[in-house]
Amino acid sequence: MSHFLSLILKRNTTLMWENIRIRFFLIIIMDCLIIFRSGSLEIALQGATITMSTPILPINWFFLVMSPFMVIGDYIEKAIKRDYPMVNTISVEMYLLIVAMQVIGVTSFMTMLWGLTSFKNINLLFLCYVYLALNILTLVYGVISTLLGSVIGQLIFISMLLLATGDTYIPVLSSLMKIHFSENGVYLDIVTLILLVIVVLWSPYLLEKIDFNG
Amino acid sequence: MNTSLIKIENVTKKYKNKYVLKNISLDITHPGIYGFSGPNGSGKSMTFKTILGFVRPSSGKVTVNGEIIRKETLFAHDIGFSMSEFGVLANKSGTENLELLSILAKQGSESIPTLLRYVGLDPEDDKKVSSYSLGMKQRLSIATALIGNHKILILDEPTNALDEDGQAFLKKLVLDLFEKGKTILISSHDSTFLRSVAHQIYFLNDGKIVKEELV
Repeated sequence: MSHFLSLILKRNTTLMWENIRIRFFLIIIMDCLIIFRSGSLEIALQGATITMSTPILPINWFFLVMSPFMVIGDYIEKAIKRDYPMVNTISVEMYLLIVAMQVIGVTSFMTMLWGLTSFKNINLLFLCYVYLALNILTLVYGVISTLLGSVIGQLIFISMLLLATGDTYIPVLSSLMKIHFSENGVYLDIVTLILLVIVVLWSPYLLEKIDFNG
Repeated sequence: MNTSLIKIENVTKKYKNKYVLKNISLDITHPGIYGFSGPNGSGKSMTFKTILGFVRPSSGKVTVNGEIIRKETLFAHDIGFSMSEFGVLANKSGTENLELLSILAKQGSESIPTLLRYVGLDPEDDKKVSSYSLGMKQRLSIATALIGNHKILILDEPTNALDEDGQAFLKKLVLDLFEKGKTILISSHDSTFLRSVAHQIYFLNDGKIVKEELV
């Protein structure tokens, strides 16, 4: 990696850590407690379908899936709108790549820690799917939070996750629940994830529309 | 024909359902010190941000060094800036902050001690920026604008948090930079200070240029 990129990565890592460190520790501890109390990651991510007869929100699943977005919070929005102008000699594509690497690093660390916390009874395919889906969804969250703000980004994801707990199948999100995850049916979700990646790759062009307003 | 250094043509900017810039036009064709005066919320900072490309005009056109901002280029090139929203790393020293920016600007870091002394800071001081006084932070912010040796400098409210000595120092610095061939855009709500340094002052109020004054 070139010297400039490593400098930007170092700079942005400092900025990111300042932004997320308190949320990171609190939420990681909560995640580990949830998984430990549940007995395994699969049970914690079991999920449930809310019906009239069982109107109970699968709170463990909900909290775990929202964890990466809660940890990252408004970091991506600030990294782009406040922190990029000072270093705009770096191309916007390269800068976005660095931010993407950072948030993938955080999400990957969290999901791998979940796997380690639940070191027995892991369905490896399900864990890999959760890892892949959450990393890509984090990038999508980054695009939404940059364009619309992190609060709206989180509200959108909360709404989508609530929808996923209903009867309707929501691609990618429903399969984050173990009860809905199927080794045969995961291919549709993978295709959806690929489409989401394409949307994310298109995001540099959207930056022309935003204000870098600090 | 004079190529404009900075040209703003009928720029409006709507922000949170309010027009913060209303049909602003100006044309800077030669080096000088250009003041922007007005009360808080008059549009000074927003004007600077449209020049830099940090905000997209709702209508109108901004051209810097012949490039149309937000069309031919996202941000303006060859402009150094000092604006409070775009700060430095608080848990690093002034030297460390400038070293990073100088490497990104492909400028040797051997000039950093000179630069820090130039803005009145001590290059031997390895205190973190978070423990700087407001005046020191302001001086460091000005130093970041000087990295890259840009032709045009934008200094947004540099007199804030500066005492009388600090303002005198800033005046000397700005005049010296002009002598070195820089074009400087400087905003302040202190029109007395601007009259002591600027060649031309734009007075803004409620998002409009209400008066231009040659000093």
